[in-house]
Amino acid sequence: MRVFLQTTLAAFASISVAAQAPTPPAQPANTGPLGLPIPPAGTLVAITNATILTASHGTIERGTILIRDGKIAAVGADVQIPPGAKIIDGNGKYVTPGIIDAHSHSAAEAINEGTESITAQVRIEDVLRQDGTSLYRQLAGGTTTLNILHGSANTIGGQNAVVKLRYGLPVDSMLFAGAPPGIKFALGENVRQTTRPSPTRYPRTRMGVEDVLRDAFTRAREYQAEWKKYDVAKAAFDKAKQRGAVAPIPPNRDLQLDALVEVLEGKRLVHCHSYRADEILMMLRVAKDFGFRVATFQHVLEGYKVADELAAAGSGGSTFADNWAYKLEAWDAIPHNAALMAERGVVVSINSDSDERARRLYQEAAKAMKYGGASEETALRMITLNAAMQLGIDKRVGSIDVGKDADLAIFNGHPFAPASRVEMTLIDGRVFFDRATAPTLEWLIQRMKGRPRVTSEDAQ
Amino acid sequence: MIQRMWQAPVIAALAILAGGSEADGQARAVVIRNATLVPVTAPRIERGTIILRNGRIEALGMNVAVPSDATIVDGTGLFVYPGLIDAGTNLGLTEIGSVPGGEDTREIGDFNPQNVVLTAVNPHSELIPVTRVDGVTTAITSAEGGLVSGAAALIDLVGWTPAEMAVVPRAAMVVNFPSAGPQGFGGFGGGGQQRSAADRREAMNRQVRQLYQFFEDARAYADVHARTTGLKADHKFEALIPFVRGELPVIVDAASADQIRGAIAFADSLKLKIIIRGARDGWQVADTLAARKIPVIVGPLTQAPGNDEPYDLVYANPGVLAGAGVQLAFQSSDASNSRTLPYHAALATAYGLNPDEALRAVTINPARMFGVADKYGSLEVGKVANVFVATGDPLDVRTHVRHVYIRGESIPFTDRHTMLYEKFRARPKKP
Amino acid sequence: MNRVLRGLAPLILVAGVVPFPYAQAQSGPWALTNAKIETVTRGTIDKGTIVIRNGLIEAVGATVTVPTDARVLDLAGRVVSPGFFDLTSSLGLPTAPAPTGGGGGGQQQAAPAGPVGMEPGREVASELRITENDVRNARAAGITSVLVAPNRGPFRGLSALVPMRDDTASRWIVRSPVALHMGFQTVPGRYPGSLLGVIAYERQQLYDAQRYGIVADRYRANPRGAERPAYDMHLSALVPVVRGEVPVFFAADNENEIRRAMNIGHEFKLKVSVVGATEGFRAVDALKGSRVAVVSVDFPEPSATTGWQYRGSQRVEANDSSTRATAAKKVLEGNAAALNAAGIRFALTSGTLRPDAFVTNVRKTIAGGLPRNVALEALTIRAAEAAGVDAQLGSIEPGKIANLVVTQGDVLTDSARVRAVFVDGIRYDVVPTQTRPAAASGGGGAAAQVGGAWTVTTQSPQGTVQSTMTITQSGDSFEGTSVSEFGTTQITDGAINGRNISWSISITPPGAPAITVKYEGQLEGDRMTGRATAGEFGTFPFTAQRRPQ
Repeated sequence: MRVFLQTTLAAFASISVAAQAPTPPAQPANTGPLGLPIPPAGTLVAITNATILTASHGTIERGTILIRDGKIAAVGADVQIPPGAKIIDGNGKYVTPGIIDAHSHSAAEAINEGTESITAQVRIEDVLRQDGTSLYRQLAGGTTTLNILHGSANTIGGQNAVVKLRYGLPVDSMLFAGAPPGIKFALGENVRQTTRPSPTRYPRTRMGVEDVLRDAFTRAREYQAEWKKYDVAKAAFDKAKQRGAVAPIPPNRDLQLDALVEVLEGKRLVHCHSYRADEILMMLRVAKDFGFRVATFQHVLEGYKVADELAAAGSGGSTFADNWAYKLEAWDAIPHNAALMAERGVVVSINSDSDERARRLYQEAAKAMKYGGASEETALRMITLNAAMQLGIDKRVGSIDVGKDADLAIFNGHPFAPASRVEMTLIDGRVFFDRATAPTLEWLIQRMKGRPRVTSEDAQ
Repeated sequence: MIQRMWQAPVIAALAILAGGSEADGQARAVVIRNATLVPVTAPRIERGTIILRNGRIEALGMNVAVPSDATIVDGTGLFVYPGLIDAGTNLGLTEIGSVPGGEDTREIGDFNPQNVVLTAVNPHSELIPVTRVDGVTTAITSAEGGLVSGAAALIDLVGWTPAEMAVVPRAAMVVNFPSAGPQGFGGFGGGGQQRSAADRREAMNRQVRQLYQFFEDARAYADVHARTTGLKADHKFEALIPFVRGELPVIVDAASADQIRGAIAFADSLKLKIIIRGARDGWQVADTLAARKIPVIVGPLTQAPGNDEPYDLVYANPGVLAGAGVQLAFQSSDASNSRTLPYHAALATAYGLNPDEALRAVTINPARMFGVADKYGSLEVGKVANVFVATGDPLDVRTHVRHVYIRGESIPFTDRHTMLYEKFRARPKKP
Repeated sequence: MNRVLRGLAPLILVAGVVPFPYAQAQSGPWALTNAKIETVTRGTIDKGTIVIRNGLIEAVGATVTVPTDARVLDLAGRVVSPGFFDLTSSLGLPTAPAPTGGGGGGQQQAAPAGPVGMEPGREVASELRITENDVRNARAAGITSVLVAPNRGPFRGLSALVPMRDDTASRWIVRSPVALHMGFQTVPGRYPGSLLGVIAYERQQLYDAQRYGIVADRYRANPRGAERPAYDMHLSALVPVVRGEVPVFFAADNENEIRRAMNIGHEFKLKVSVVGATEGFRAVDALKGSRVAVVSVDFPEPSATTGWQYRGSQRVEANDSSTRATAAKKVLEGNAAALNAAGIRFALTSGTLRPDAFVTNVRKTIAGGLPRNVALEALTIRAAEAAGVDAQLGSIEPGKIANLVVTQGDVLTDSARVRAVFVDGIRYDVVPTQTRPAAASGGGGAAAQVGGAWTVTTQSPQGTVQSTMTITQSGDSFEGTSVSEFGTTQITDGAINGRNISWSISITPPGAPAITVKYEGQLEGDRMTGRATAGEFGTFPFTAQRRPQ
């Protein structure tokens, strides 16, 4: 334990910005009262003697994870540790892959462009912000990657951003490089503005929602055809190289239709907020008619009713553990949803849709074991590997495997056990959360001891 | 006249407890054998047996004679716990959050001590069966809003009528202590999110004065009506009589240190028996609370701390309170997810709350707080047979509950969720 | 002749603002002699002469012959610098949305009038109604050129550079358009209604403008037989912008905003000058290689900056809020110095500050580490570069427009007093509007004027507490009352020593004993800043603003 503390404190104390880190060293390591010490790069780190829950190939007792340059270089019971490695003593600890939240609205200055029904042109990546305290709290709960989605105000919302919680670094460095782009669709009550006294925006009914989708994709197809025609004409023009001939003018570039064409071409993942079984089926039909796959249905609280259809279409489901009864469309929600969908072959993840819930996804995932009897492995995958697969980033994260990014959460007990908490969270082998140096209530009380009267100033 | 109205349900409830129940008859005993019994107020009993009869715990121990006509439940590898008590819900008062028709959680006006929440409890709410199959057998249910929200009820999660459900029909009066925080709090000021600090503080001071005034008037009323008969009744003050006399407790919802201190001063001044509920900043006032023996209900723990507060403030608060000697209970403050009560306690055990104390906080402690410790909250002979049988620690999410008994009745595991689950699990696969 | 004029000089100097008919008399030709001249581009001349004719600088040097027809002003003991620029101003703009389209009332509008904030084609030059008061206040701070642009919305309009002459007719406008002004505010009631929409909208408009330009050119080159493209006034105005011919002034203050602005600039190859950049020190890499930045000295509150929230993840000390805020303020005041150290070229501008507060804050940036000469350049030649007028303005060189500021003392020190200002070669005297406070060596000099009604804002842990103070001053002490949510209380121990001010009040929070709060601060014109100590509760920052009479 002391070694653990000493090494982690020493590591934290060195605040130089590593030149070889993949992230741009954009700012000085510590800009005083308006800065945060940037954790040193994960050049050579070893977590030793821990129980490793790999999420991909079972549990390794008393195992070691060797991290080199931010990647997992070795995992196993007999791993050679090269000299010079920063040692994190994992004795008595459990290590899991960093938790991936497939439905987040954190780290963004705006979530909804709710003025129109189709806003595929807006991008979450344009409005990211890196310094909210909620990001730190999520790190303290073992969460390392977020799928930040546009809100559910519109049938077709905006483009998403997948980020790693590299707290304290500029937003560009938070982006998950290479994550396939995505877009948010939404069905149901929010889109139809049913809680407003007099909604005036079309669509007001579920059939109107279908029309908006079909019309949008029809226009996208037409736009795609226009551009194909132009491409052909341009190629011919270039080939002919005729003197004095005038090059064809491209069609007007429409950022909204660009995004929809990417969906048609399978280059942009659709994450569709949905509740009722019938609207899920509607979306599956629309997708089939236009030749694309819905990557995930989000919330999908009635997904268990149409699990076979989801599985057949290859769509994933990302759902709550046990939230229900807050809206009419959540009335048939059951906590067994995740386990039952998984049983029928759907790739299921459990998400938060809440800054607060994102801090304790490990407790939420355990509920899949309780309701519906999912296995421990399946439940763990619901917050790690499955989410990674749904987001198309499973080559990089989601399990503890050689070659993957060293995104890890270190617990002081099994993540599903009641008294467990996260002790340390690493991203790319860098310690972004360490309870030993974090401001805790315990530390605050110690600091306040001996003062004559406690004021709320001290709580700040 | 008014007083007699409230006696009726109490009599009815006691009658049921005395053993006059439905046609099924509780005369036949239920025996759970060979289980690990966790009485809470006594050490565990390995390979123990517990007998339930006539709605009561008839016997428990290692070597207990099993009656011949008993229904035997094999408890091998299983654990028996007393039914969990959720110290703060609005069960029965709400169904679907966004549909106003089913909501009885908030009345108009700041002072409604005369409102008896039990009246509005819907015994057939779908939320109730869903809750009890996870081991929560008993709950406080109360309304919110205003300064005085009405009388909370302590109910068992069984019964054909609200009166039958009631354990204590008017278990506590609910008071919301005013605050100057940005959330302000409900009542008429609920809409003013953007008011300046000065406005908020002014509003808070005004409300505190109103609260004091109201209770002082109620106290005077109680004194006068004790000495004189034939006076005109005031339904609001009438309702407060047992509370201003300190006979029944007042739940004061107070989150910040200022509110808690204010609540303590209020209780001192008016000689009330109070329970602090919420107590987010209870850790700041823990020693005072312990010294005064003021019980505290914490929760929900699924809240985020303020921006500049330690990240584990909400999780670690209960541990600090319990460590200082405060009697602690938990509330889910919910209806649809009251079943997650033990998981709030679990979060607290990860950040400093002793697990045994956590278990007490969802069983015997709330029973004590509401004056029913002689009948609820632990596995003891003579207590009401609210028990559940599970595969492990109820605070562990992975635990499965196998059997639930409320007042000795076996609870069917058919609620809305299990029915939908079974139905769609059985959906035939397409060829 | 000279002797007569010298005799008349005091009369002229006292005259203050000269009404219009006398402008001829004030317009020279001038010979300013015996002055210390800060040319900015060619060093400092300790004792020299400037000759002004026809609104331009004819000659400047240590040994310049004074022309016989020039009126001589002996500026011994004075310093002459180029007049300052203020590049963030909305002087003279109408408060109601301006009609778009340059034509008269009878014309059919080809494109629908855009709502305010979505009008890249709006030229402010045709709308300005600048008042004498505005002009006088600007000159009193040494400002001779003001860039006026609307300040809300994604596409705000095309700005104009206006000289601070009494005659505010549009014929004197130095340059229009100077730049297209852009920002990140939304437009109420329609798309774009969020930051998400604003950025997408801007990108779409710029793409549309690129194409519009190509199509328009194509049509113009060969209209016969071709379908006439629709006329769009706003896209038309954007074409030179996307071709890099008209620069963009992009309002962006914090780190993320700066990066977002530069991203758009790179995507469309715009010539972007970031305006604001109060957190430029966090985005130096983004600013490198961009057009000269326009850095505001309207420092943000520490709690509104990127990084303030990191405190939630760090072990902070008791009473951290105020010490950290003070330290953070230092970092923010050191912004310009940090940019300079990183090799970024920038002008300094006022943000929303009034002219006198603008100059005060420039002094703070110098105190924060910005070399004094760089600060002077930032107010003059760099600003001229940003506005595209560095061939005409921004330094004292022959052939440039005679916009000068004459001060007693170095123009960028606390003790500087602006005596006169030349705009287009016309001399304007500056009447001091208030006693300049003494140098900050704690005491000495006349006590500043502190009487009047003040709005005091104290940052307590319970949140911002507002109170109103009414002060009557007698010499270096004062008394008065303070009204707040805690009630009305008397001000005791009120003392003013030079710029240092202090007083105490007693407040009684509900349910608590009375506590004495001691205020200590610095007075600068109509503003105070300092700290309030409330016994064991700690120390908190406060600011106070004098209310206009």
